[in-house]
Amino acid sequence: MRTADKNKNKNIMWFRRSLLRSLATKKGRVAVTVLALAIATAMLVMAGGIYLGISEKLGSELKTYGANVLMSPGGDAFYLGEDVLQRLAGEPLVSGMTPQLYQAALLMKEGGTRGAAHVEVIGTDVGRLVEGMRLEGKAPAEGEILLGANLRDALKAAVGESVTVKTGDGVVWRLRVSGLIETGGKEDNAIIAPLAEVQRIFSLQGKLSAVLLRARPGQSERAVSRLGEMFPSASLKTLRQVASAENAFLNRMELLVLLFSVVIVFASAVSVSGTAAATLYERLKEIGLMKALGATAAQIRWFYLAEAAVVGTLGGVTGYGIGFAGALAASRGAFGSHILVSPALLPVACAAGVLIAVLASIVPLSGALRLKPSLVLRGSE
Amino acid sequence: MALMIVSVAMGTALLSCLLSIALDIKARVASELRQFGANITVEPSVEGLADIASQRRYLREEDLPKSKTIFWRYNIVGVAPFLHEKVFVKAASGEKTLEVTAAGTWFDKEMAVPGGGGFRAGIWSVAPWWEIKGAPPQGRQEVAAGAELALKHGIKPGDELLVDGEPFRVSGIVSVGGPEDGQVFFDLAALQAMKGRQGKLSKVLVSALTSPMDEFAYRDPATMSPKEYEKWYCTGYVTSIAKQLEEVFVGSKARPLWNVAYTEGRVLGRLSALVYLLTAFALIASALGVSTTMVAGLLKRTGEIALMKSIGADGFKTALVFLCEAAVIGFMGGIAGYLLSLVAVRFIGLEVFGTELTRRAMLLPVSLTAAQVISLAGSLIAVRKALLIKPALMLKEVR
Repeated sequence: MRTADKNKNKNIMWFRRSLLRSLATKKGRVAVTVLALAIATAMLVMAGGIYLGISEKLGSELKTYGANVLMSPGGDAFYLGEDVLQRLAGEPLVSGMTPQLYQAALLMKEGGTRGAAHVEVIGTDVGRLVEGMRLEGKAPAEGEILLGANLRDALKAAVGESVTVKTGDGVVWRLRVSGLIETGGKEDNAIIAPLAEVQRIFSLQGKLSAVLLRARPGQSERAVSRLGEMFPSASLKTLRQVASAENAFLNRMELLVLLFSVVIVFASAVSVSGTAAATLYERLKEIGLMKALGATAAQIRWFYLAEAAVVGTLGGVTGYGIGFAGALAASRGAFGSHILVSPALLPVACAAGVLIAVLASIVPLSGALRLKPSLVLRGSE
Repeated sequence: MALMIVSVAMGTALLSCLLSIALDIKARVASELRQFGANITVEPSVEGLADIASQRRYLREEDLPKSKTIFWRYNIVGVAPFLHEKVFVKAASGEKTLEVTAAGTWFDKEMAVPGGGGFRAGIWSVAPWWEIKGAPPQGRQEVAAGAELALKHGIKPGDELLVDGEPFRVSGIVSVGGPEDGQVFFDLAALQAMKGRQGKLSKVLVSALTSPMDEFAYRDPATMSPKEYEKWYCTGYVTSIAKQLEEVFVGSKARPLWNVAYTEGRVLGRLSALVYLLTAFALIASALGVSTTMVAGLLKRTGEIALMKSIGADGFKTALVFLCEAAVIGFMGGIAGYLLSLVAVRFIGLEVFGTELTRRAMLLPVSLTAAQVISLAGSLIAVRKALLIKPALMLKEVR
């Protein structure tokens, strides 16, 4: 019993020492294999990291398409209180919001020629509205408005002129046109001004007609039910045009990146496994010597697989580092912001490195073990 | 040898596959982005405030097929005409009469195109997210109700609905998830006849494949020189396509939906940049991977090289033997890799975009050249190293 234990211990010690010696003396060869494995795992980490991060990055790019959830007053109410904005700001499902106040007013050109027409006045966060729109002039300050493209055509108005607006209760305002905006949507038939300005003109301080919300892509239904509980008196709706299209689009793009990644990882794994295999063929003599000295096939197999595991782990760790940098560079180049690869991919990278190294060793190893030591050592193999 | 061929083949397959995707990515993603709906609205031009107050001008229905005759006709992938009118609606079971907006439109209609051929126009060509429970309204006696209206007043498919006092059968309930849920829908011709507006339209939505907006595209065409104007007109910007639509619709103003154009430009730019970068990284990695295999494969044959040298071959001849071998490996690997990539590209195209990616003849020579370059470069490193060996030491195996 004791001798068996001693033998076992001796075996383990021999095994460890030979393994370390083998790795230390053949630094060049180990380096080439580690590099090759690092390349394959780096591809895995980079592609995997981007696959995991793409949805969020692209999703935030899609925000300029518009809102995917609409919050409006429920029941018979006409307005929402402005205080909802503060409560919405603390809600993690909501990534953006634009308050809106809609009012009708009678619009006339300065001097009252060209008639008059009832138009919509939209009070909103003008800075957010104009992003990506065609704007001539600049965003309105106090006492100023933006004129929609159709109203501009109707009035033949230019930047810097003034228009007259008459509210429902008969008050007449003279407002300067600070800019002309074309959106292609309903804003083209409207007057746009900062929310506070519209609230002041119509004496509706603290009131909103609606809040346009942006929930994270794919989360609009959840946001609707969550916010429905938070604001029982408001009505919440998913705006399907944006919500469903962005879901479908993001799923497609995720699939694209996934397949792209599979191709990259598979091809690079196969091309580097050639390296691992080739280095083993180089060492047929070593195997022959071990056999001649009385090592069993199992011992030799364990020895080389353990070596493959060490090299694979080293390659995996290095590869994680390179892949992390690659994903960072790619996301910076494409999105101007970072995709940080999750550390959860580190064990995956190591496992992949070991797997590739072991798989690449199995075939040449079984071939080598079938050879006769004397032939190998004589050099006829 | 087999290992090296497999390795080169994989590297080449990767190259050819990624290039196919990268070269096609813009076109494919642009057509994916059309799921977000129309990107151009055509409306009657506005001449005075009275046109804003009430609609007095209309587009002509006869101009509709001309949208498929403009310079960028093949980029027009969806067209939907609308006539908007106010109507009074009363559910057969209900008490109240409501004033709602009626939209006369096509849901899915084969439109004859001048010069032959047909085109599937209608709402589903510009707004795929519209759902209908039941069937779209057809003929003079049918109407479809918006989901919100239907919910509020208990309207179901098959019910009878009084529109301006006349009975209509409810063919379906339209669910849009937008303000349209409060409207009623008719076949275009039915609403035109009802309101005496034969051949008239209030709005046309167009979905067009466009080139992403760049700085040049944002310039006002009025300030361009004739040459610039021509370049602008002949590039598929959303603004130039809108301009061309304006020219075929009499008395119209065509405007891009700027949020859509802007977002598409950004998304396209970013996504294609991402794909290009990934492709570049993957190609560098695969070139490295393949050359390490070549190096490893040659290093085990240093004995052979030493022998050759010791029986009189000079460095050049020795190198030539190995480089020729590398060329053969490169050729075989290149062919195998190209064939493999055809399968992969087809699969990815069908799986992701539902259509095959463009086959490019130039990829075969590119793949073969790349395979040669990679395998020769890999061998060169190894051969150089091998040539430095002293034969006597090598053969005695003192390294």
